[in-house]
Amino acid sequence: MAARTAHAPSVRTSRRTTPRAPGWEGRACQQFAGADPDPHFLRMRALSYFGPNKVKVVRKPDPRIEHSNDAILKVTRSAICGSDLHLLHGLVPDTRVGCTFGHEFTGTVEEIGSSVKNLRRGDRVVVPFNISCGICFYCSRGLSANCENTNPNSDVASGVFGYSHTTGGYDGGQAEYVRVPFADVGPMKIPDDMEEEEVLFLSDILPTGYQAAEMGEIKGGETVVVFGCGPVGLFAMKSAWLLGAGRVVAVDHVDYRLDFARRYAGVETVNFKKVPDIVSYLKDQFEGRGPDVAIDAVGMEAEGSKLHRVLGMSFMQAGVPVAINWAIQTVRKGGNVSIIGVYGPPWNLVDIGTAMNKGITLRMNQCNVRRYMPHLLKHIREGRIDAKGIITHRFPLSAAPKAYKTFSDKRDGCVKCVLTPAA
Amino acid sequence: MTDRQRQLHEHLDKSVAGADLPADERPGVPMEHETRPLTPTAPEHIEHMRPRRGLTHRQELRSMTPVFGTAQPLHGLSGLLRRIAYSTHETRARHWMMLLFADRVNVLEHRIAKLVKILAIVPAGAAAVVLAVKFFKD
Repeated sequence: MAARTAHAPSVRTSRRTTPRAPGWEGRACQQFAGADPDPHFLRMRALSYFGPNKVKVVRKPDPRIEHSNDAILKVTRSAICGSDLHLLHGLVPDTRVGCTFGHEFTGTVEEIGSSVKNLRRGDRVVVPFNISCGICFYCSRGLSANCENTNPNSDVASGVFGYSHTTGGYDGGQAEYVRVPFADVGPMKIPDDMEEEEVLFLSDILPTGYQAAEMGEIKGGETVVVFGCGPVGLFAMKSAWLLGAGRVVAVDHVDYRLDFARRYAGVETVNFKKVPDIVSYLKDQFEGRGPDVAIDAVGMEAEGSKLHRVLGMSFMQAGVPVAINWAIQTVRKGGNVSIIGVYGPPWNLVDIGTAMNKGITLRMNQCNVRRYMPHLLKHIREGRIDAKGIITHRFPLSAAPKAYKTFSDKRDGCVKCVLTPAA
Repeated sequence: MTDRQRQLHEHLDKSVAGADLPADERPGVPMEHETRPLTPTAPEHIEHMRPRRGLTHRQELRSMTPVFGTAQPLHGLSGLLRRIAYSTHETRARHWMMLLFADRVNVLEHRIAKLVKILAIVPAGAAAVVLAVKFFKD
């Protein structure tokens, strides 16, 4: 089978080994009657979105080299991120039917564009969730999450794999194959002595959690409150210790996640549904002033306020800003609030007056993943972070809808789901 | 410090606590560094992908960015609504509300197309069964 490129020549390195779907040629002809029969049509299996709370694994056209610096990866592991649930629930604008989710994945290089120098066929790589050119105004200053060359549809973020057309319209990695633009910039080779699952979370949640703690400007001995005991929250707690925090408290309302945070990150925990007022409770815990740093690792689907929940889920505001407001209200005057939870445009009812009057520093961004990968890889190798330790569930790609259901409903002690396309 | 906190500190691995305390151990500090390529292998200049039909870009851009996604090009009524949405600046609420509306229309389009397929297949299947029964009876 010859590689078919849109306009850029590619280096075809092998024939695909995955079996074709029975009768795929027939379906291709029916669906695209009149078009040239294309061997790429409807071959790979991929998770696809079909409306709020409806995803299925279907056959889709294989991705192809569309730019000289593209690579095609055969996906080896792909994780479901908490932010994928915002897509699943239909909360992210311009999520089109047929969109394949997945921005946390590892893979093996299958095919490369003509200008790719850094990768060869067979290289195992982990890929940052942001698609960055590496040389624009923002990338050259280290802000790869704000790259201006990869997202034509919105100024709010760079291109992101599998995260709606608001972030550029790229299909994601919850599939057998994925197109990776700027293959010389984003992907990092996986060391030969390491497994995919050990480094999988370098693609998003580990750097994101680390950046959240780093933005808290911990200088040694600070008190830190982390809102949310999901995967990003857990890594933010771990990172707070690495950066020298003196005390870390985690807040959530799901008991098994609080237990997990105690065991995994060695933090104190509080269930906000079991105290009369979480803000007063936390202030009391820190000499009546509140913690030095508060981290929002929850995002737009937070629990805790019926009013915000109704307004947020009915699009009267872009998501539920309860965690941000609690962070602002809890942190001590002059403290730092770090926001890493995902919120959509264009507005939220955020308690900005309190933030101003308390002299709080607000720090936030999507994670500039590529900067953190080598450093955090070192921590994983030296045993300071057991990234793989948060995986509670593994599913084959064909069971991805079930995996989403388990993760979304927080069933069966689920903290993190990983999909294996080859299984 | 309470007993519980003391216990947690004792359990904390000594190699973990404060491992990245020195500022030069922090890869994201300062958040904006001096100008240099993000990675040593970053390309020196960026080739532009060829524009194609069914794609969108935000209002303030004159053309597509050099690289873009090509998944799910615009089609149908939802495509028209999205095109209208992208003609409005993204700081306007109506841009986002129109996109959300188009998403729902897109789902409806998909369901109608599926229903039409079923409605086309069912009579054809029924006719085939009737013909087969007739054929074998004769």
